[in-house]
Amino acid sequence: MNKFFKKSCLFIILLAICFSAFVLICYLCGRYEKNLSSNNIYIWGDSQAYQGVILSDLARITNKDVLSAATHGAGVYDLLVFANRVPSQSICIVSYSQCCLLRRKSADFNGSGVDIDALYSLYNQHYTIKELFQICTNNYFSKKCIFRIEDSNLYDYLPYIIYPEPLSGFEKMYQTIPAFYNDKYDLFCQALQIMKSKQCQIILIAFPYYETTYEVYKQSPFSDILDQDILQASNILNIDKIDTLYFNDMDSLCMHDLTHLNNVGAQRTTKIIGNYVNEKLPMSENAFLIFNAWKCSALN
Amino acid sequence: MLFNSFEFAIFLPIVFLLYWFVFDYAMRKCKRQLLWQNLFVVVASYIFYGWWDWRFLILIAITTLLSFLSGIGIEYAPTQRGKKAVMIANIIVNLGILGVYKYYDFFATQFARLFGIELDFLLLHLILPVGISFYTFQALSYSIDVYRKQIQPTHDIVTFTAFLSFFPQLVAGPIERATNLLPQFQKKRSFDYATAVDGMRQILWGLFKKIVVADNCATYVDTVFADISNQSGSTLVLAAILFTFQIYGDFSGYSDIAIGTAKLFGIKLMRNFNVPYFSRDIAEFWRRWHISLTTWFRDYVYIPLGGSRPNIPEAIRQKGDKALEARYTKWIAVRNTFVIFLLSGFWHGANWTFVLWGAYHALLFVPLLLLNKNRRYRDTVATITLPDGTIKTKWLPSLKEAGQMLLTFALAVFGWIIFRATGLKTLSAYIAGIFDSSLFSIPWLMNRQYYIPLVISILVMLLGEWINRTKEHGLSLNIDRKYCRWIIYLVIGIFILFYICCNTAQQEFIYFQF
Repeated sequence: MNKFFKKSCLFIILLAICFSAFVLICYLCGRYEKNLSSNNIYIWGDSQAYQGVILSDLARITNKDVLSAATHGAGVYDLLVFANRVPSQSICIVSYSQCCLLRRKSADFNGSGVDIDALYSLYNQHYTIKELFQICTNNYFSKKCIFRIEDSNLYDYLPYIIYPEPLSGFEKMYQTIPAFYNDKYDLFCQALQIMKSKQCQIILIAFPYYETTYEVYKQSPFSDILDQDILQASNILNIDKIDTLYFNDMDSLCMHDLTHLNNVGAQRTTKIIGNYVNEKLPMSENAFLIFNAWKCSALN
Repeated sequence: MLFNSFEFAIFLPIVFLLYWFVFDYAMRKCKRQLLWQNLFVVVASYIFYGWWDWRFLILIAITTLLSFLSGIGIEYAPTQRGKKAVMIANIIVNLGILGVYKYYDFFATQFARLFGIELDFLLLHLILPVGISFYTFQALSYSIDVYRKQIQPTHDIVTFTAFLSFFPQLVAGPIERATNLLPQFQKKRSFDYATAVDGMRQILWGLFKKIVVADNCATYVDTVFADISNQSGSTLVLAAILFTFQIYGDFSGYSDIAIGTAKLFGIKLMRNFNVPYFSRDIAEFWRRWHISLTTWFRDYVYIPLGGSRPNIPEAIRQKGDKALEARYTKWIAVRNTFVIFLLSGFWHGANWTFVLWGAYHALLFVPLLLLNKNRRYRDTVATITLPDGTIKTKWLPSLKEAGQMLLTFALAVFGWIIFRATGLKTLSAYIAGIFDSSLFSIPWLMNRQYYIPLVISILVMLLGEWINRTKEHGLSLNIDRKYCRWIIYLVIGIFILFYICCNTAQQEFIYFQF
């Protein structure tokens, strides 16, 4: 019995030590970024940006290194961390996604490492201690670096749209603006403000939706409010904005599902972003997409 | 209290220490030491069970009392008919309780639909007590075994309550027999180091299967099953395969934790799973899957109904036609097979999909039965029995065996689709969705951070079970070097803790609902 008791205790202690060491390494590695140059392009966004930009293509078009922090389900906390980590005077391409603002807080990725400043911003925007604690526990195993340079796994071209998420989900999402929307929107603006204060060139991009999703969005009672908010933010903060939401000739072949581009769509969108960064404006893509690409008047 | 919860992580060491240090060592000179130890098991088990809802305790207490009294009633009944009456009364009352809580609303709904009656006033909306099917069947086995004189009825209510409510196996089995478990509570247990260590290993392996494999599979499976109509065929197939691993990891993981925990208390529970996905046909699969339930149905339903060797009626025997007798025997065997498979399906829950699942397996089993091939594979795959009786395992199966295992696995996967579907409409939508042009498209894979660890964990589980397929669990390591064993235990422990931290929402065990 004594032997068993001692060995059990030893196992628990060893496990606790190994696990703590593991957590500590993960935590410490998540604290720094290396070799971040202000000459690079930095991308932030959720799954739309993750699937919608081909980093190698963008690097080739712009002749710059492209680093992406886009990840599935990214939320405003991740954007705040991104804003804190990007170097001054860099080009930041930020995806504007309604899902990011309307998604419930607990469903956000929140996996960009523990960042005290970002947590404090959340605290000031009515995030509860429990929610902040949850973010901290999510980040025990945060990645060493939030940026990646390798291309994401793009969705292969398919001759049809697949539906991993139901359209009814979007209908439901757009029916009511959740109570936390304003908090998230304010945090989104704060992150943009941080980047602006670092003299970054910020390009806000709204990735396209499949036509049925877009119709659901436009018919929702809040589409005007959501559009207005982001327009206002871009106006106030003097941010460039690429709007790819509007399609007059929807070609489903560009989309993988209701909200994500496939590799063909990603290739075309990347080209447009690249051209935009190179200031080859205005642009149109073989009459395939019509972009409302414009600069805010305040920028001029 | 869930096995994968923080509460249980506190509960188990406390109960373990009190059980051995206070109620065993400190009371070793007490004449009633065994009684106190059993009483402590009862208290601990009731705390464990009452953690869900204290009202459930009333029901298990009623079942315990009735079954205990029925045992005494059977013993003292003066005639055989009287003994039988007591046993049947106990069966009716216990199955009545189970029927009301588990099946009443289902039958009321079917009745109302059939006759177009307003439904609301008919329904009871009772909460299904956790694990009711498991302890009810255990209670039934006791009174039947007493009636059959396979065990002496106990007059000690504390011992009997400990037997029926023993917390490791209370809510999801293994469904123990009184012949195995009750005598263990009637004699003094002594701590055995090797058994306890093996119990710890089995708990670790069970937690790995539940937390690392099953819960991660659940993330994908639940997402796909929540929205079947919008998934590609290949995604639906992948979800079905992952559910196959999920339900195995979940249920066999639970069983491993239960058996391992019981070993810590000096109690040996029966084995519930024996590498079922390495079966070469469906008959072998059913000898290896949920063994405690299948053997329960075999012993208490199949054999009493005549099994595969029924008594030939006098009218047929008198004809002297051997072919007719053989046909009759086959017919009864087929009928009995269908009965136990349908009952087994219905035992899982009040839903037609479970019945259909039972029927599906019966249809797969019957051809083997008719061809007398249902007992072909009684050994373990890719093993050789040496003349001295020892079993030697081969590294790989033969091509034929691999093909047989793959086919059986595919048949099981299809069965799990029926099992998992929430209704017949969902089931038909799922099957129609699979056989779509998108069957050969690339399935939805969530993301790399998800599927790479998932695939690795499934492979680790399969590898562990394959290497140890002749042993009791996947972590029965036969490595001489102690530090190598400890490294494996620590790595598995880190894996488990990692996923406990990542998946903050505790996943319940699937079989709790049954």
